[in-house]
Amino acid sequence: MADKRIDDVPEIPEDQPETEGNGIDIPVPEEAPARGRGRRGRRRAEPSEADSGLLPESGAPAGTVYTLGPQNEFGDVEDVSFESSSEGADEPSAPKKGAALDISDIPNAVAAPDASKSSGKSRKRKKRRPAQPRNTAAASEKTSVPAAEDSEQYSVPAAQDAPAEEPASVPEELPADVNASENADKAPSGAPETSADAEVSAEVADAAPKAARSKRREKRRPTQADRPDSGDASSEAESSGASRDAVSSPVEESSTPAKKSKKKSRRPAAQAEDAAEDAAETTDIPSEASEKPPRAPKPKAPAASLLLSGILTENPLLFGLVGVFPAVAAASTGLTALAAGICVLAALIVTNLAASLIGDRLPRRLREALMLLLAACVSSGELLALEALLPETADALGIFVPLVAVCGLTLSRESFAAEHHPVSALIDAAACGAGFTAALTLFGVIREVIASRTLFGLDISVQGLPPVLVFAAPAGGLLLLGLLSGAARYVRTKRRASKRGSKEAEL
Amino acid sequence: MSFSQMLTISLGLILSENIVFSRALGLRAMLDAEYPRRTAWLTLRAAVGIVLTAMAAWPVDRFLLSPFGLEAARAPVYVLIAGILELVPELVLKKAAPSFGARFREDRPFLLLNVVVLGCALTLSEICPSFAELAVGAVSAALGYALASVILSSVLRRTRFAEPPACFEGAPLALVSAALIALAFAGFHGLHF
Repeated sequence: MADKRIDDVPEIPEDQPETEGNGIDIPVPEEAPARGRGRRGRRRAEPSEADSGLLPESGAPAGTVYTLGPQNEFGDVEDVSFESSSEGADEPSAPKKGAALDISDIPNAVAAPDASKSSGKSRKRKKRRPAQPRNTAAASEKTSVPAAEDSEQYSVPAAQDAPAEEPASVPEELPADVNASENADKAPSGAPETSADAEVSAEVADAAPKAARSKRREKRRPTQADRPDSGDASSEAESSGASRDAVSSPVEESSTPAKKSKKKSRRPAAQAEDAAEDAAETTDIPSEASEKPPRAPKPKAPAASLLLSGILTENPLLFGLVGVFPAVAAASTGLTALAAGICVLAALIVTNLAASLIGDRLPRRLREALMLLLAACVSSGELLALEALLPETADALGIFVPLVAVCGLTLSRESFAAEHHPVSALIDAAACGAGFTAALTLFGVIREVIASRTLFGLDISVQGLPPVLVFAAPAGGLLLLGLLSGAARYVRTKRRASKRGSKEAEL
Repeated sequence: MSFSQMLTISLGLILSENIVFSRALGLRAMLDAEYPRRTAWLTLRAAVGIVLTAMAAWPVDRFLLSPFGLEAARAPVYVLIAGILELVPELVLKKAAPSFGARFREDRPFLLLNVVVLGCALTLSEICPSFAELAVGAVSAALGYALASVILSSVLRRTRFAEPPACFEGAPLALVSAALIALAFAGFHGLHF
C-alpha cells in the first residue's frame, strides 16, 4: 500500500526514508514557535493550507475529536483519536460530530485539526523525558510513556512529508466508535498511545503494561479536557491517522531507518490530504514497530519476600541443593566455607545484575554462557584477592575457587534475574548469596567442629570426644549436608504446619 | 609414559580419586536422576565433554597461560573453551540436521559448561605434565564419572521404594545415599601401585 501511495505522490521518491522526508524543507512560519513553543511546535508549523484556512488557528474553535475505540479486534489500535475541524470547508467529507463510522471503511489515515495546544505541550514535555531509556524501561508506567513517544515520532515525519493530497478521503477514514462530542476532550491524550499500543499489543501480549497504560490514559484525559485548542492535537491526529492506516495496511516497507524516531516535527494543523499522505508514508510504522517492540517492563518482586525466600525458606543450599559441590569439596572448615560463600555471593551479584540488564537482548543459551563466563572472570579476581589476603585459605580452596563461582547457583538464579528488574535481581542475588553463605558457613563450622574440634581455628576440643575424621572427607560432608538438609526441611514443614494450625485456630 | 603410570592414573581417577565421590563434582546432576535413558544420555555427553574439554584446554594452558603466569585466568579461558565446544556443534547440528539437533535443546543445563567438565579440566591440567598423561587421565575421569553415575542412579532408583521420614524424601535421602557410596569408594584410597 505504501508503494501505491508513494506512486500517487510523485514528488516524494519511493523508499525514501523518513529522515529524508523530514528533511524536505519545511518552512517554519512565524507563528510556529508561538504555538508550539519549542522544537515540536516549530516543526509542526506547516506552510500550506493547514495554516491558511483549512485548519483552525490557535484560537480556533475546538476541533472535533474522534476517538477510535479502546481496542479493535486486531489488538492493533487501542485508542486512536483524532480531530477534525468542525468548520473544515476544505475537507469535504469532514466527519460530523457524533458520527460513528466503521473502521472497515477507513482506507487511510485521517487528518485532523488540532486541539489543546498548550496542555498538549506540557504533556509531551513529560513524555519526552523518558523517551531516552526506551529500551530499558523499568516499570510498566515508564514503558508506556516511551511507547507513546514512539507513536508520535513515527507519525510525525510522515505528516510532514505529505504534501496536500487526497483531501476527500477524510470521512471514510473515521474510525469505529467515533463519538466526536463525547471524546472531544479525550482525544489528544489517547491518541499518542495508539501506535504504541499497536506495537505493544501486537508484540507483547502483556496485561500489566496495558493496565498501566489505561491508567495513565485516564489520568491524562482530565488534564487535556479543558484546553481544546489547536496544538499538539493535530500531531496526535496525524499519529492516529497513521496508526489507523497502519492497521488497514499492515506491513509495507519493512526497512525503516531508526533515525526516523529522532525527528519530531509537528504541524499546526493536519489536513486530510496530509493525513492521507501520512498514511502512505507511515505505513511502515507497524513493521518498524514489529522490529523494535517496546520491551515489556520487567516486574519487580517484593524485596521482603525475596530476602525471606533467599535466606530462609528457599535457601539454595539447604532446600534447593544448589551448590553441593562447594559445600562438600570446599567448605571443610568454617573459614573456607565463609570464603567460598563470599566468592559465590560476589559472583552471583555480578551475574544477576548483568543478566537482568541483558534480559532478552540475547538468546537464552548465549546469555547463560555469557553469565558463566562472567562468573569465571569474577572468580579469577576472587582467586587473586584470596591469594593476596588469605593465602592459607586460598591454598585450602585451591582449584575450587573458580569452580565455586561457576557452580550451579550462578545459573540457577540467572533465569529469574533475566526476567526481573535489576533492583529485584540484585536483591535476589544478595539474598540467595547471603543465604547460601550463611548455610555454607554453618555447614563448615559444624563440619570443622566435628572433624577437627576447632572453631575458626580455635581449639575447642573436649576430653573424651575424639575428632571424627571422616567428616572432613567428602563422604562425611555429603552425609552432613544430607542431614542438615533434612533437618531444615523438617523445621520448615513444622513451621508451616504451625502457621496453618494457628490460622485455622483463628478461623 | 610407562604402563604402570598409566594404570596408576587411570585406576586412581576411576576408583580412589573418583571425581564424583572424592570431589563432589557433578553430584548435583545425579541426585535427581530419574530416567535411566536420559541419565545415560547425559552421562555419555558429559563423559565425552570431559575428554574433549580437557584435551582442548591443555594446550591452551600449556602454551598460553602457564608461560605467562596466567594461571588465575584459567577459569574464564576454560569456560570459553567449553562454551565453544558446546555451542558451536549445537548450532551446526541445528543447521545441518534440525531434527537431531533438536534433541540437544532438551538438555537445559549446560553439559560442558558444567562443574564436572571444568573441574576435570582444571584438575587434570594441574596434575598432568604431559599430553599423554592428560589424555589417559581425561578418559579415566570420564569413565569414573560414568561409573559413579551408574551406581548412584541405580541406588537412587531403589530409594524410591524406601519409606523415609517425610522431610528426608528426595534430595536429603539422595545425599545420604551418595555419602554412603562415597564412603565405600573411600575404601579404595588404600590402593597403591
